[in-house]
Amino acid sequence: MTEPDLPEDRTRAREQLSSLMDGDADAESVAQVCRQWCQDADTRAQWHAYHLIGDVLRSDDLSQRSAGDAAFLRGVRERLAHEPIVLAPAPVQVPADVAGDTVLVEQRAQAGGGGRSRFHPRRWVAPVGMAAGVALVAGAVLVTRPGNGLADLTMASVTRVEQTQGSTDPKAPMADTELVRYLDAHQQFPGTLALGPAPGFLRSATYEPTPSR
Amino acid sequence: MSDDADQLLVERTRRGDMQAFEMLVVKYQRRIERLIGRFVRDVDLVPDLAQETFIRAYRAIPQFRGESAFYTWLYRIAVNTAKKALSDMKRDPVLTESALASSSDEDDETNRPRHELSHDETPEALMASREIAGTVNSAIEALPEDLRQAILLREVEGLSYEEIALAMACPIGTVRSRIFRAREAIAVKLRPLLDTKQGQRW
Repeated sequence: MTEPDLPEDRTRAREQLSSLMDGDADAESVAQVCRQWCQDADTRAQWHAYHLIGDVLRSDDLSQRSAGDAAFLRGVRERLAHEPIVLAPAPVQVPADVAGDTVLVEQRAQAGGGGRSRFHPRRWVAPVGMAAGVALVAGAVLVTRPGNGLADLTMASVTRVEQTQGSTDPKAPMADTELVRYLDAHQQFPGTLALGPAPGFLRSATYEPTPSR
Repeated sequence: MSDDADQLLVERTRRGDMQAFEMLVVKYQRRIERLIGRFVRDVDLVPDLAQETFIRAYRAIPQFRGESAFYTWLYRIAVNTAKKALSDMKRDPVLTESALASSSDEDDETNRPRHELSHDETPEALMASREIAGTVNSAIEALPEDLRQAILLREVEGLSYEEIALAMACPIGTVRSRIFRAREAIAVKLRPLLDTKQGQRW
């Protein structure tokens, strides 16, 4: 019943069209038909003819409006060219184990008399973001402060060492007077870190406590 | 036809596939034009409003959730588009009453509109229309019984492949094949009429 010398691939393409018309096509063949629609005038003409057949079988008067069908599509296409491409949000595929966890958390929240969930990721976003912001600003201020940024750090360390001088714990690392002497000996370097630190200085600042005997 | 038949194309449109939407346009444009013709007497406005209907549908398709059939949803958009056009016309004194359909409150698309002759209803167009309908009907009559029954159950009765397979006591694959062969047999007769029409360059 098909055209006698129709190539096999053309026949297959038309079979796909016919199945798609009736909603009997898988996703792959729909994708294939849509590609053909773009490239192949025969696919478009055949799709139109198949649907016009259905329309005429249901109601003769629908054939009256078929004369301008191709022009109508061109008009819609021209207007669609000025429209942004629609993209509906696709449903998120939640893995089964994660979905199970979510259900579990919700069940726990409900079991607690409608209380709040103890572990809700969204509640962590704002505080963590603020903390990160504060840390970033503090770091930036420290590094860009002219002159004595490192001196402040050093003095803070010295102060802490001095405060712990009276400690009775001989293994307390800050009690080691070597550290104080070392830092005092390097007071001449403060401020160089911000403008271009000497890598050797940073390396030499590594402190190794002397084993107690 | 079937509630599910459009689902695949609608889904692809929602993911940004323009070709899928164009296929829906070609499928429904005649029904939408006829529906709008029930509201608007000015025949030159009908294609414009039908195009406007499809553009509105395209914009709104991300919100289409599939609770109803796609055509039911499209039908409502067409009715709203036509009613809005009528409302705009009534406010515009330049347009005359001749632009308004006499039975604009009836939105039953199965009723034929009573309005002046349009370019679709000129003697030439009517003759071409009758030729198309005659060709389809004679091609149907010429089909073998099993093919004719299959395509009529599908297109006129709206049965699914599964239901037709039950009715005809044959496998679904056979139903699919019969319907395809029936369409091809009719299209072989129909295409020469369509392809020679002016403006039918697909």
